[in-house]
Amino acid sequence: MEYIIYLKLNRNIRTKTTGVRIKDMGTVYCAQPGIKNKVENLKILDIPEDQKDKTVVSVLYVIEKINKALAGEKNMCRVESVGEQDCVISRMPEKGHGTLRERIEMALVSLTVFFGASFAIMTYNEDVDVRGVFGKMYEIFSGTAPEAGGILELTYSIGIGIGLLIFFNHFEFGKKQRDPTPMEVQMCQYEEDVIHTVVESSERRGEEKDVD
Amino acid sequence: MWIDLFYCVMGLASGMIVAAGLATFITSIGVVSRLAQVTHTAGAISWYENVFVLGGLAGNMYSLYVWTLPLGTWAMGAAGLFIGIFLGCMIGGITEVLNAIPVFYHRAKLRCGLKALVWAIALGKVTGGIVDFLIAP
Repeated sequence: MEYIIYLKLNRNIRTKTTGVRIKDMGTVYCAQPGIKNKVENLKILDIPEDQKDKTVVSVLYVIEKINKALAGEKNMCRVESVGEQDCVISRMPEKGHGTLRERIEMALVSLTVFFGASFAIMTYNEDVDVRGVFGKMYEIFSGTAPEAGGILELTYSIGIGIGLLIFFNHFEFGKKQRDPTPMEVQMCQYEEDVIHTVVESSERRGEEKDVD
Repeated sequence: MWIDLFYCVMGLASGMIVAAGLATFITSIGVVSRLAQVTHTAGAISWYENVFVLGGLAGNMYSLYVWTLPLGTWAMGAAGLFIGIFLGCMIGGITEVLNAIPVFYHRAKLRCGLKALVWAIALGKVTGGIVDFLIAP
């Protein structure tokens, strides 16, 4: 009888080991557990540790390897691809979290973001002359202008904090239940664009691992 | 008393709108996410958002109220350096959003020299800033 092997490749994977197997690149399903295990543990290619570029593998390359490995099976096997058509493999060297370099980088980026945000709001306030507008409002509504900052400036500052927190969704607690924040969405979109570009340029240069 | 209540509502509302505008601008330009991606610290993006909130509050405090924080010339120099880095990223982000360089490349049918162009832009901006602030203010 015929067994169907469903192959779902991921779009973008990172691997710590040199040999890349099918179960690193995606998931396999087959009604027959023996065939499933055999397909999952097939090694597709080797990536050396110092490889900086990403390797792009086409799903047809994987299917060719599967068919060659299952050529001797007594049952008919058919592979169906239900995932991505290209898989980008990045080689991640063994780097731990919380290393000194990572902490220094985080500190530098934090300082940059802190000063940048404060500078942005300072120049904005100067540009639109917030002080002048508030002074005019005091004149309109009470006839005098308080000198060193009154209630409008205070609530304006509090409002800025509240607005930023609402925007970045930091009022919802619980990391698993809340929606991703706008910056996380931005990062994910950017990563998708990068992967798309890598696949396109790899195809153009002819470096993609594909059947001939 | 009613006037004070009105001032409260007005101040809060204007602050929240200004904050939303600033945050949307910085997020859609993609400054912070690009910085996080370049240093491979994408897991700490929540922390960067917190830092952004703190920075916005601090900047606002400084611009609306009168404070003195005498920390010396070196601290000011460091602050200026970080401000410059952020501004450089922001300018780069705006240029990317406007798609200026890719359209130019496409029209001029250029194939190489992108690196030289980016270096030229960066050095030009540095020179322009120095000339504007130090040589002929």
